[in-house]
Amino acid sequence: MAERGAPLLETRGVGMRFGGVKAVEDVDFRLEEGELRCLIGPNGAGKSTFFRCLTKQYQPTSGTVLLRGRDVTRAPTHAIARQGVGIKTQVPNVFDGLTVRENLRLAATARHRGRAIDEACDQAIERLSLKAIGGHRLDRLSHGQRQWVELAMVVTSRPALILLDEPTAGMTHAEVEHTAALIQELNRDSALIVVEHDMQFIRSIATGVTVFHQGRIFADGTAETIMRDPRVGEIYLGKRNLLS
Amino acid sequence: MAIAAIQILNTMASLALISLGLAVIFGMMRVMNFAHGELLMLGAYSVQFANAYGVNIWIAMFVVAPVVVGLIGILIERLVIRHLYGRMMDTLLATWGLSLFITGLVTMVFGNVTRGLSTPLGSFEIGGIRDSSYKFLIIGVTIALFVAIYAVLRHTRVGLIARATMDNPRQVGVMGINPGYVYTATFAVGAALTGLAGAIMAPLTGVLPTMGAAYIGKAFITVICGGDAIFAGTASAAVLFGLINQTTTILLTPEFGEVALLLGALLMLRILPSGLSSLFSRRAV
Ligand SMILES: Nc1ncnc2c1ncn2[C@@H]1O[C@H](COP(=O)(O)OP(=O)(O)OP(=O)(O)O)[C@@H](O)[C@H]1O
Ligand SMILES: [Mg+2]
Repeated sequence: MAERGAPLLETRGVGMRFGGVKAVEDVDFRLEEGELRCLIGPNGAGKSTFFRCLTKQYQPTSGTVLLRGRDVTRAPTHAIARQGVGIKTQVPNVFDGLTVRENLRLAATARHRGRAIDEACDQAIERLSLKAIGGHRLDRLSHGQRQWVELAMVVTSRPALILLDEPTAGMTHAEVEHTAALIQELNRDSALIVVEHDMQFIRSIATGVTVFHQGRIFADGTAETIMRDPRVGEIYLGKRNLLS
Repeated sequence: MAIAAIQILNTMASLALISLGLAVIFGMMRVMNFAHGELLMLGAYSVQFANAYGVNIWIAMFVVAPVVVGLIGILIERLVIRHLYGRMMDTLLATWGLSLFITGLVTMVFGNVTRGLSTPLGSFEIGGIRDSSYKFLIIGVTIALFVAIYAVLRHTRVGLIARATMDNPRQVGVMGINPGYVYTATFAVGAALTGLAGAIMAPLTGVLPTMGAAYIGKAFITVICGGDAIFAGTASAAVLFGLINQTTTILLTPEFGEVALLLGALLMLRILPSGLSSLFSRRAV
């Protein structure tokens, strides 16, 4: 049952262990409809693992995951996707043997039928300037191009909740700005959680920031307060604060 | 000469036809189905049985047999294959056991006797030599099936989902697609095609519980030698081995034809270890 006024996403005590390694531990997380949140934290903090616990690419070893108040802890990946959760993983996870357009069509079939599929693909191709490579197979593309295709796949399926894991990694300055604009545009219809390391980028898009450290939530707040928090600076880069 | 050409085409088509279902299942799911011969056998029994109970021969062949064997395929996938994905050796053993079980069961129920089924379509004559017109049916149906499968895979939503699952099975769930359904459907389609092939071959070979053993070797050779581009590969391997087999059969005897096919396959895998299709394609379909 969906509760009234329940947040879009809520986790209660979510944990993920790999053998003896506690990659994610006891995470209570809330995201409201329409929110845009950045997730930061040092390497190995558990950000990517947390994402995979949300999409059930990993089955969390403890805790509860709720989407709009509905318990989806046991739901498989495809059911989560159908409830409107889209993910762009850190390593581009695409269909190498298919063309760009076929990858987009596939993403679109999750949410659309018939003509709407082609329209959604056309829009994404237009929006992300992929026209020139529409017929190329993914294994012929550069790492950067594959990133854009995966972003386009998320755009095409228009999920209610979008998870982006380091979307700007390896991008040029102009591409980063392009991505920031895209994220804000996506945020008009969807809530987003974005894993990022680039503070400049975070400040240009974010309202809220959550800091992960050693699998746990370490701090929570606005971009400004988090960046001025000396404790965060220390765990993050050993710096006094993130603005220096 | 014309007769020889038709016979060679017929052998090529027969090889492709009996291998098609195996190619679907192996190509899409990387499952080595050792019960493939028994699925052919069940297709043959389905057409024979339905026909004996008064069902029109064409309906029995093109509808009853694929539907019956397709449903059996769903059962096999749900009860056995599903629990063994990614475990090639276990799947091989399990399907081998399954093939013994099905053969035993059919022997128990229908007895170890050969049942006949009259060959429809009569015969034709070129230059004083008579041959069965049924050969044209085999050639025509095989070509139609390959074209149809290619068209479905290339141009439909279902085909796109099938190719995506083949390409990156771990990622289709993220697209909202249930990989479990895709696998069940793929196995069912492979089984249905195999049932149809068995039904089409039934009038030529007769129907008996152990008939699967005669097919399984050839079907495996054809699919394996085809290589990664599973459909184009299977088709081209069938063309090559059909040519070798039938030419040798015409020049010498059918026994030599079989030996030549086997030698040809060994030689080919020696020269092209990743299959015939590695010559012309990097595509998976
Ligand atoms: N499949 C796995 N098996 C074993 N350990 C894993 C697995 N996936 C992640 N880990 C471990 O879990 C911890 C968290 O990793 P994760 O990739 O989630 O961190 P991250 O915050 O995304 O880091 P980065 O910023 O480098 O991407 C690490 O210690 C990692 O080694
Ligand atoms: Mg990560």
